[in-house]
Amino acid sequence: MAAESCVLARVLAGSARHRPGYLLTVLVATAAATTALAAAAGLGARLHAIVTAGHALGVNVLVRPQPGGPATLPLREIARLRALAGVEAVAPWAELGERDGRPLLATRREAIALHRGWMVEGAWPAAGEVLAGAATGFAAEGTALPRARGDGDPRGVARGASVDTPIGVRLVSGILRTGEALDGALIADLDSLPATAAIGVQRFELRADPRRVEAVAAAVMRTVPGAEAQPLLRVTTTRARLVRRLLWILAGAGVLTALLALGTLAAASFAQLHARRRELALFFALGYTRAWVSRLLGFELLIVGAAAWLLGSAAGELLAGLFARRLFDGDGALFAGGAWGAGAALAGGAAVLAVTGRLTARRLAGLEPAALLAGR
Amino acid sequence: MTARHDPPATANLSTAPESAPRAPLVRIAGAERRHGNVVALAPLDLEVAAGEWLSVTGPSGSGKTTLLNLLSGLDRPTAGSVQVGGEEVSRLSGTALARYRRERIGLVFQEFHLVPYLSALDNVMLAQHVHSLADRGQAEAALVRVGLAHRLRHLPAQLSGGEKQRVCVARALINHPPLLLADEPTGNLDAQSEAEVLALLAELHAAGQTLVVVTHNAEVAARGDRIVRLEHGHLVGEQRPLDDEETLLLRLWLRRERGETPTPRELAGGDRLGWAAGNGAAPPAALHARAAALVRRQRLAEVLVARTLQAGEPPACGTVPPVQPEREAAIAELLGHPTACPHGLPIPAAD
Repeated sequence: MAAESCVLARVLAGSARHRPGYLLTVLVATAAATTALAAAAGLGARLHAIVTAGHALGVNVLVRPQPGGPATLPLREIARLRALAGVEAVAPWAELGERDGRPLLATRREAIALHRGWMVEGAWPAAGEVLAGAATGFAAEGTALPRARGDGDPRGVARGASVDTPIGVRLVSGILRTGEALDGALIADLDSLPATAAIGVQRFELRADPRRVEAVAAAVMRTVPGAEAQPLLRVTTTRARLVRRLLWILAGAGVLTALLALGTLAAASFAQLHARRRELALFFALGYTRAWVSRLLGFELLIVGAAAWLLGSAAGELLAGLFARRLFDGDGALFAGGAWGAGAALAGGAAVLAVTGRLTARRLAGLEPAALLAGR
Repeated sequence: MTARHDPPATANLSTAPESAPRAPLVRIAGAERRHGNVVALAPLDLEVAAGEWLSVTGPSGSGKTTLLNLLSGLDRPTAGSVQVGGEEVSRLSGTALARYRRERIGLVFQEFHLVPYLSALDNVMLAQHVHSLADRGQAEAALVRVGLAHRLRHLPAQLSGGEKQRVCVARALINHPPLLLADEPTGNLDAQSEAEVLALLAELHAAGQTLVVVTHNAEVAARGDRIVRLEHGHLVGEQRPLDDEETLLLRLWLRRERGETPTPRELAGGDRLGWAAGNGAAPPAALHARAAALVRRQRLAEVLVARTLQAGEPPACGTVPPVQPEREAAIAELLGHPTACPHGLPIPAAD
């Protein structure tokens, strides 16, 4: 059995050594297709993750008290807002005053997820604790929060330090890295404050279905007394359209590349069949079946396809990561797309190779061994 | 010479006592191959007995290779029947044909058809692999048997034409097929390699291997027990060299000189003449004089041809027709009474 496997292995290895040009063509064509598909899928996966996490498209409706009315809205209105059709996430923001030039704000943990690029270093504040806001150095778009002046340094406030706030001295549990929005501010957990229910909220940030932003804003105005809803249409529609177009372009490019790869592979395989016609005829003459010869050729394609898949997956992921960074100002790790990109590369590469193998097998079935052995 | 619809050849071999009990291994009945309106092989009846060496001759396009393709199952007849070992080849499915080729047939090609990226040993093992019975020891032994013990690891490009053809023979025989089909096995070989390959085929034949050898070379064809000639797809003639006593005597003499075992048909022919040629036995005195005279006249002819060709390769040993008896003395005088043929074999002295 070992000797048989060795014969087959030597046939495959010898064949590979004998036709590097062909295998390189298969490798490059398949890798190009898998790269394009992996890049499209990887970027799509990132966009999906960003969108579902409320990052890239972030806040798209801002709810504030109507001018001339009360300065705040009751926190309990959050339940009414969440119940509105098309609302995906709601984050309340309460301004609790200022001490030593540091505004104190209170919100809930989900507010962080609504802002692309925000990141908590350390722990989310418990009772008696706050986060210190600090700029990350890049611009934050789509935020509705007031910008505190600052230079990005939490100004000597380190994790574990105590800081004086309008509601007493608090321990700094962590640093909240944002754009410039909260530089120098202090942020407390709304639910851990005493008498939370009585706290007035200056604004609610809403993440609504991008297609229903205006409807959601209108519904808020109808539903929440004294509230003014402002759709952030410029940001959401532009971004949503951009993302949709980008995905279509990527998907189209992936499919086009796969078709080109298929054409290249089919042409290369047919040329190989022609070049190897006497060798294949010999296999038939020795008693090998067409199915066996098809499998041999398929196995060669499979080995190269596996290598192409690895290359294409890695290159596609890298491209998707770089593309995402470029588009979304550094969001996401380079290789965060993972399974989607590799899966698309595998599916695309497998489809291309399967169709090529099928076409090759059909052509193989039409070969006449006697004519091939005679050199015709 | 027989026409294509004559009774099967083996049935006509009345002078060959060993032919009667042997069942035909190959039985072709009315087999025909057409490509549209073109007749590649006209309806043909032919039988080949087990252990027989059938030579198929004829000009290019006469249907020789088509006949071989039908026997090997690489092609199917458009009409008629091709049976090998009792199996109707023309009715087999694709998979059954593949099995037939790996179990019943060994193929030797003019163009060798060795896989260029595999060593000689791997080329032979490739034929074993199809049986899932690859055995390196057996493959090595097969190559040793054809005289290639020192070439096991060489690629085809590193082998001479004769060596490639011997690899091809080893590959064809590795699975012990009952029928060996050879298509112009010496067509691409020089005289030296041709002699080596023919000696190998003769050895196989002597061991009982059934051979069908397609060739346009009359010298190669003459090695067969029977020669059939095709022209324009028709069987136009049949010869049995061993029916000719002089041919039989010359062959037996050469076998004895080379230490080769005569084939069963040659032995039977020897018995018929009164020469029990087995185990290298010398002919009886009466036959010895006649045989020696024949050998002398043939080798004088070989010397004559070789000197006429001068720089050319001498013809294969034992294939040149003897000089006429009445001219023997004059030719021997002309050649200076040579004592050895161009191949180094002794020329028996005249009585």
